Amino acid sequence: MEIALNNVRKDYTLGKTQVEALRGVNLIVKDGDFITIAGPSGSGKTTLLNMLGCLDTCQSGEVLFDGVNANTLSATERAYLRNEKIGYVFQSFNLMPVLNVYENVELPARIGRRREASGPLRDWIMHLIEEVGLSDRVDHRPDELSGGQRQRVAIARALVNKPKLVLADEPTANLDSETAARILDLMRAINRDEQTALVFSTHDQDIIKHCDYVLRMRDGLLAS
Amino acid sequence: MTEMAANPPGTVGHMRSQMQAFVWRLLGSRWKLIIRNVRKQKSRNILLGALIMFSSFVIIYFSQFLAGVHQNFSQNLVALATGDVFISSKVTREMDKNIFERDYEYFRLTPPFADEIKHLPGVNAIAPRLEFDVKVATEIDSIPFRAMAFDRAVDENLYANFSLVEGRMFNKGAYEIIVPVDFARRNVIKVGDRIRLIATTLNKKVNLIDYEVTGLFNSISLSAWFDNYVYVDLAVARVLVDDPEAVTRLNVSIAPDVSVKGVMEELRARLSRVPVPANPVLEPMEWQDSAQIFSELTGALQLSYVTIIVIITIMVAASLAFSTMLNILERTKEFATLAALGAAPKEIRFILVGETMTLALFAAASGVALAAQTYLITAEWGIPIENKELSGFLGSSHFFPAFNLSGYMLGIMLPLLVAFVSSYFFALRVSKLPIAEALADR
Repeated sequence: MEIALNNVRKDYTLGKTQVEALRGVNLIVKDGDFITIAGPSGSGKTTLLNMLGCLDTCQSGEVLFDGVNANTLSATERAYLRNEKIGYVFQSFNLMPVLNVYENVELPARIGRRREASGPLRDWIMHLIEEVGLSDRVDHRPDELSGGQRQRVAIARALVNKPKLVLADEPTANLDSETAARILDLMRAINRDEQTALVFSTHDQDIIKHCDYVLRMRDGLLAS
Repeated sequence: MTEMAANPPGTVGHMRSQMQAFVWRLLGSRWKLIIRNVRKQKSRNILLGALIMFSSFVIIYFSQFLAGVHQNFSQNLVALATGDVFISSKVTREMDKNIFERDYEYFRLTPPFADEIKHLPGVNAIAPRLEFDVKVATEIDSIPFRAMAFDRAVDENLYANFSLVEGRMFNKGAYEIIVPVDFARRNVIKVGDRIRLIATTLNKKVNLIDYEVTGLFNSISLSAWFDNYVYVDLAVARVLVDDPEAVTRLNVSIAPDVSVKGVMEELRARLSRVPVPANPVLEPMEWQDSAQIFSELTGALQLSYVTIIVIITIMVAASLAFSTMLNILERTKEFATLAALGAAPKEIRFILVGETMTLALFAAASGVALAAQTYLITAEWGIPIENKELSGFLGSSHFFPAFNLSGYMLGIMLPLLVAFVSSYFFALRVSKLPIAEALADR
């Protein structure tokens, strides 16, 4: 899958202030890319991830998924695209409080009943949970987990549908160095084996060291 | 999983967790979310559920109460009339306003005609009655009133509903009369007095006869109706209207195991086939139908039922809408996350509406169970009626509700419909959330 951002602009209104979050960004993400986006707070990193993840629409420019303009898709088609092709790791995890670890990881695969929780899927979910080191927490709900454990559930959830693109906002921010390294190895393996593109917004030097490209954002523009 | 580890294979706990996992797999993630979210908002949903349950209970039980009033009243009416069916002159639209004040025309019940009706298949007995306008002349005044004449030998249910305050019933074949106690007091009539009844005969002439007052009564049934009549023996009333075969209504009692509809058809066929000479057009009518007309006329109960349903609907709809709104405000990020993970707008709507409808379904089902239980108890034991007139109206010292399927349907369908309507609008809005904005809490 190839995602192209062509001269994408996005403004927000915060109270009475107009904020130019993206001011004409151009970017191409291809299969197997491992990109980190660095930059100070408010530079537009999250907005850029939202555009790549089809979570938001731009005021001008275009976001092309394999040549298809996301702005022309219906809400349901965009939902389908997100579910099938994109995995997210949110900065604040956004786990479902009423579901346990297994069910949270399983959720994207079961939404819309597009996939049944058949034997191979269950094994895959358990494998992901094991890889993020939560085998002993399968039946625990998010409020019974630490911040780092929740982060790991969010990572496993992002990978469950074997997406073509994984977007992560500070994915290792709440993890200890050992777990962070393990998670990074897992993602790197998926990146390598499945040709999954990874786009992270991070300050973590370990991630930056491992990635293919580092893009720096400043005032809504990609600086490098 | 850890549950499995905690419950070794072969144990009850293991089987239970396997079963639970199987059920959850069948239900799918959406239902998992729905059911768990309903359980999560425990205190709010208990209150809301209690309101829906109560509403359902009221709708169902009130409908059974209404059906009970109608059934009790109909049965009483059939008993009082000494018959399930009556034959009278054709009822016109103008006459149809009140079955107790209809001015039926005289007709002649000749012995062959009476015999023919009496021997129709399924007919148990017949009881002729004569109702007519009179002027009751006392020493002081002459008062327009109504008189009813019946044969004590065949129509004993009627006078079983009189409560004689003073004196005794009239004797068969005697020029005796009983009058309502209030009427007697107003017109200074005492037991032993003689009053004169003035009436128009079948030949449109005026006739008058003196009767001795033998009793003053209070009606203990259908009071408004009974108190509007003075009662005399049928034979002597026929002397007054100058026709030995005159009747205005012939009550027909039908054997318990025979279809009323079938006998009605027989009667209709008979009445249309051979008209009785010099009679008006006659038609049979069911007392059950008359009771229905009467129930509709009284209307107050139905009106209060409709009012209660409207109030309940508004209350439940407002509460559900408010709760759904709170739900959305509290869980905006959750819904945005679902959308981000790939839930289509219709799936988000399904989850939100599903939560409200699940709550409504469980609560309404509890209301149905409660109403059914209450019905079974009250239908078995009855509700004692303290009020004498009401007790007379229903013909029993106890009130018995009657099963009403449509009440049950309404009791379960209405909360579900209200739940759907009151949550769908909010669900529609939440399914169109700007995802990035909702996730960022901007």
